[in-house]
Amino acid sequence: MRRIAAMRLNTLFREIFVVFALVMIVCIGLTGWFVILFSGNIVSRTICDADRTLAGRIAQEIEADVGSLKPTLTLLAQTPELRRMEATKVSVGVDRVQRAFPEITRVYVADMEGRQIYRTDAAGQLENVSGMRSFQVARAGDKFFSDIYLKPATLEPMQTVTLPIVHSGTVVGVLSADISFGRIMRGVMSVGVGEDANVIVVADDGRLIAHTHMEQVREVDLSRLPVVKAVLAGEAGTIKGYTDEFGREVVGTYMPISELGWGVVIQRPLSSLFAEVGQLRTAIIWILIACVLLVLPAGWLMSRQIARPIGQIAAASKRVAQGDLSISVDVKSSNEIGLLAHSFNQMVMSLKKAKDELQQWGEDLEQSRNALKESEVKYREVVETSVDGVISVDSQMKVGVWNKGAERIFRYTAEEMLGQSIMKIVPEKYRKEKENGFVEFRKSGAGTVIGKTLELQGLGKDGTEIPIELSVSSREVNGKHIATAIARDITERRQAEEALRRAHAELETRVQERTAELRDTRDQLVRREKLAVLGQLAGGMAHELRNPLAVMNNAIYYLRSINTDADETTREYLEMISSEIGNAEAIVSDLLDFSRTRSLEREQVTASELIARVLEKQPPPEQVKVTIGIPPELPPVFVDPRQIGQVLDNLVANACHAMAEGGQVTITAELIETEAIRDPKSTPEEYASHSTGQAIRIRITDTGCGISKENMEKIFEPLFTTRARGIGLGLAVSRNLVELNGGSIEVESEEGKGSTFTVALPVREAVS
Amino acid sequence: MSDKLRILIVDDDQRMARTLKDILTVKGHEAVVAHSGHEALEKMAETHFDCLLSDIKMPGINGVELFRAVRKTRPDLPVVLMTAYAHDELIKDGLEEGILAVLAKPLDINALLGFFAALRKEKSIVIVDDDPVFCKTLGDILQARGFVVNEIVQPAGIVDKIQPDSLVVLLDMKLNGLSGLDVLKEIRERCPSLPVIMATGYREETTQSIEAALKIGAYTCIYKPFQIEELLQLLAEINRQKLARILGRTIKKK
Repeated sequence: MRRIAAMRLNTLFREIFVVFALVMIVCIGLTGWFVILFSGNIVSRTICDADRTLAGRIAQEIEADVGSLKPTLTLLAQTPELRRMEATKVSVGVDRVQRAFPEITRVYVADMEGRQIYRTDAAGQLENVSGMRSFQVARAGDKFFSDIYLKPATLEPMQTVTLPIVHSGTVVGVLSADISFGRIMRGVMSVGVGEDANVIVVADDGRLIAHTHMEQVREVDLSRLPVVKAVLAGEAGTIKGYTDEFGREVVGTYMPISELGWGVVIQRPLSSLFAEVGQLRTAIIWILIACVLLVLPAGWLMSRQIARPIGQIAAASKRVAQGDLSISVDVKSSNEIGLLAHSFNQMVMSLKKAKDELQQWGEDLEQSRNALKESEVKYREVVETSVDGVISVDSQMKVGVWNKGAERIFRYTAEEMLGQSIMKIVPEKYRKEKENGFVEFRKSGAGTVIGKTLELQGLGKDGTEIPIELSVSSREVNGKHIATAIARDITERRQAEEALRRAHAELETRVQERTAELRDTRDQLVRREKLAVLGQLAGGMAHELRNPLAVMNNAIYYLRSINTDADETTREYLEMISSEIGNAEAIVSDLLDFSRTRSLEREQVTASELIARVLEKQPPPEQVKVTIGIPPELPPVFVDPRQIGQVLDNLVANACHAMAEGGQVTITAELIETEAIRDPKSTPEEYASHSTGQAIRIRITDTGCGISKENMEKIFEPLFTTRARGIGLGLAVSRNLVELNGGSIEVESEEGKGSTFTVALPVREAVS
Repeated sequence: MSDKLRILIVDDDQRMARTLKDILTVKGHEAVVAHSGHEALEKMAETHFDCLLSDIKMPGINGVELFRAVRKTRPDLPVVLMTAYAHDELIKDGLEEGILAVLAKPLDINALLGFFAALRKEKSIVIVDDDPVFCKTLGDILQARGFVVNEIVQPAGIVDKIQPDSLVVLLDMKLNGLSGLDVLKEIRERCPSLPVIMATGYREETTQSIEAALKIGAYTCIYKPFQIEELLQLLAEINRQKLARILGRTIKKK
């Protein structure tokens, strides 16, 4: 199985990742944006809330502080001490109060005429205050609150409160106290509100009680500030975005000190607010970026984790769909995707297995189909090519199978016979009988011919009866009986049988003839065998005989030599012995000649030379006249001169013998054209390359007694002789020698007239 | 006439040996008998023979083997073998090696005697040359070698001057007045069995003339001046052939 290479950036991956990234970025972005947005608000609100709380607290404190002052004075004004208008008692009460409230810096009590009766500062300098408005008001029975004024030395905000002292409903005196708000001022100035922020306390007339940066603001009228307006109206709240006493854009949080009618304002520049916010925003942005930077790779990995295996599986599926079942997906995760991949692999494997199996089945099926086809073809061929006719017939006598053999025998084609009645090929006279047979066959599938081989007559297309040998079998197919017959045309066989009968008769006569011939041949063979044995015997014997003959020859020679003057009879006898020894030697020589194989030593030798030698060696007797007619320009013959010499010698001797009373021997030679002469020993190539197609024909004619017709055949046969002497080997040997030398020997003769022996010898170029 | 020939007869058949000895003796030769090859060699070691006549088939060493043994010591000795049997290969080898002839038993005594006579007789050479000095010089040399020399300077009527039993005629190609070829022709006609050696002093003697001479039947041609040893070898060969012919064997010219 092959692994699918992971695709780094497949579509799914991209989708997931993009979606993821987008979503994350959008989310983060939105979140960021909202956070940033709201953070501003929150921050500002937080700050403002804090300011408000602070303002509230300050207000409360001031309220507490100042608020208690006025009642305290009022109370003081109501104390018995003060009501009695006794200076000493008043001082106690006033001291007491002053000790309790260090804010009260100066107190005096004045009578109805304005005369101070008591005074805390510059003791002893009692003044008349009747001119003062505050006195006047108080004498009238109202409380008189001065405007807030700054003490010149310390710039403390002061207020003088002048109260009537009432005894039993009538005003008896006036109490006036100077209240310093310095502590408040200092308290406010020391409140930590951040560098740029101001805490402002304004009195009910708009006069500045406290300000974080008091020294910078002194006599400034802050009442036009919206916040001041608002707080003095008794409202609490926040106003964003107005210009403050310093010309800055600020946000002011205000809280009224309701008891006093005063107000506390905390002013903060917007920029410092924004700065806070800005810092927060920057931090948030960095965090967002960090988030994105973390998210993206995470997203990448995650997407990959998901997309890659799926991509692999997708790619693998595609390959599978295209038919490649050899792949597998390599996914190592153990989650559902891993499970998916694993299942996918298994699925592919089982698919492959199924496919292979199917393929195998397919192949097996193909094979069996082919085998079936082959078998069918084979069997069909057998039937079709069968030389014999193969015919099948159903029980209705209809022909079902009609092969080429049947076509050939009956001359009906398959088209003509298939589906037709089988009776078409049954001669008329037998039809009734056969039809009856079919009735039985139809019923039981059995019949007289079923399972048998028999000879009967069929009917060919041309109407001739054809002798047929028929072998019939039957089988049952779907309840019906079918008969199948093998038909063989036995016309030839019948003819052959007839011929055989005739041949037998002939043979008998021939045999008898042959027997006779054989007997003759056997006799011949026996004779030849005898000859062969004899030959061997003779050979051995002959050699042995030569020794004693040689000695005898010598002895007689010697005797004749030393008995030159012996009497005639002795000489005759010696001669007789000598002659007989010669005869014996001749016989021995003949025998040896005949029985041994000669080697050939050929030479180019002329006929005249050969004849000359013969006559030289054995001069004919006186009564024989020799005539030689050999032209000198005759080409030489290529023969063994010794052997041919012997032949010619023999022929001349025979000629002389045939003319015991004398006669004429004529020896001629001539050149002839011939193809007939052929050396049995030479190869065809040798013969072809060296023969000239010419020969020398030597004729030796005598005028002797001639040879009878019967003897003519036999004279060249060994052991045939007409003479009383000799064993008749001479001519046989001669013929052998002549033929050995590539020549031929013939005889013509007329009884009483004479004989002519003809020897033809080949003229050849010398070999080598 | 030369001295008697001393002939060694070798045959294990005692009667054969004896009858041969008696015949030869009666005809005037001296014959010694040995009954085996070894005995023959022993006798040859003691005595000088002019000819060896031996049977082939004998116990111990056969005739051909005896010939080979003899050849070592007496290469010039004429050897004639005889046999009642066919020894084809053996005989063929022996003949090639130098046995003069192998005769069949029973022997043709006349031929044998003729052979011995020829052997005994002096060999005569006929020199026909118009240069008498040449004739004389050569003649003397040959005479010293034991030949009888017949010098003929005048070729006219030459045939009558030649003894028919001469061994060979040495004929100069150019003779005064007559062409050597014509003389050759004459000789060939009258004595067909007499070998003629043509001699010529001209290297440029046309091949035509030589061919013509050979056609007419000259034995061979030699150039003058010739080595005497060569001539002697030639004469020895011609003599061999003559002797063999007498014994009934035709030795092919080499």
